[in-house]
Amino acid sequence: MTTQSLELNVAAEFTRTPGPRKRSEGEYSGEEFLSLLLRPRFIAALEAGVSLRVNLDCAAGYPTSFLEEAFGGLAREFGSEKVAANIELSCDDEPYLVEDIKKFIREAKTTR
Amino acid sequence: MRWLIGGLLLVIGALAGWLLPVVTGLQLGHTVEVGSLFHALATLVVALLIGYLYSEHSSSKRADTGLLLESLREAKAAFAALQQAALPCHRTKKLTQQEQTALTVAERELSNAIHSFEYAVSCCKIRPHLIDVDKLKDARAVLKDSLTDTPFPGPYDASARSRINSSFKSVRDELTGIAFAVSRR
Repeated sequence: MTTQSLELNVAAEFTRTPGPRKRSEGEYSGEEFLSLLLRPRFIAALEAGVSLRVNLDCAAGYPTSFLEEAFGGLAREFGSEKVAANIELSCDDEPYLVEDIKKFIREAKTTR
Repeated sequence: MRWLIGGLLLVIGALAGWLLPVVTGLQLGHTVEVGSLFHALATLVVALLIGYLYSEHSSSKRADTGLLLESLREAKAAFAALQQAALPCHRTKKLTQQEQTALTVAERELSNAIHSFEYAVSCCKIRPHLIDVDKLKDARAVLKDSLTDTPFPGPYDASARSRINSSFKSVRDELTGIAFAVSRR
């Protein structure tokens, strides 16, 4: 278990109004978040041997498609166990989101 | 108030016991046995204790029910607001940016209201089988998916719109069922 972590704040670094699943469907998509921030930061955390702490507070709300594409997409790429072991989620605004995202990571299929 | 009525009845009983021989001219014996007096006193103490405990339990339960119903009213208001925000999903066009944000904000309000209700239930001494919050949470999750998973942000086809309608119905039914369970407990 790592004791240090890299930070990723969705509202401060990406948007306060997360959008749809794919770039083609609109702005601030889960696909865009995955490629611009989540994947690079996750790789950096793995290389540094620390966990990635994702803060989901201060956004207007998270569509299921955004969360599934971003976190499920990361799990499809790196494997559910690896992602679950190296990512920490925090959301005081919507505490139940943490469980929802863990489910997306756990149940990520190879294609969606 | 209940104690006042009890005290009044006690005074009326004592007065009636004193006045009855005077009014009717009956000759009553006035021998007092210490054992009987103790029995009467013990019975009185037990009756008062039971009355007190029941009164405490009853007022605590009434307060809990009031708070739970208030919390449930907030969830119902959030549910109604989400229904309004979801109306554009029934058009055959993609949601505008403003409509997307309104939908996710309204969905979050409902989810938070249900989360608060779950917390309220955990604060009350309720037997878990009486109020099934898990079923409500599951229905909430299905509703969220029907609104904000693919094909969000639309257009929603007939099958997606049908799923939205049935998900709304499930949440409404759960809220109604819980309202009855809270009121009747």
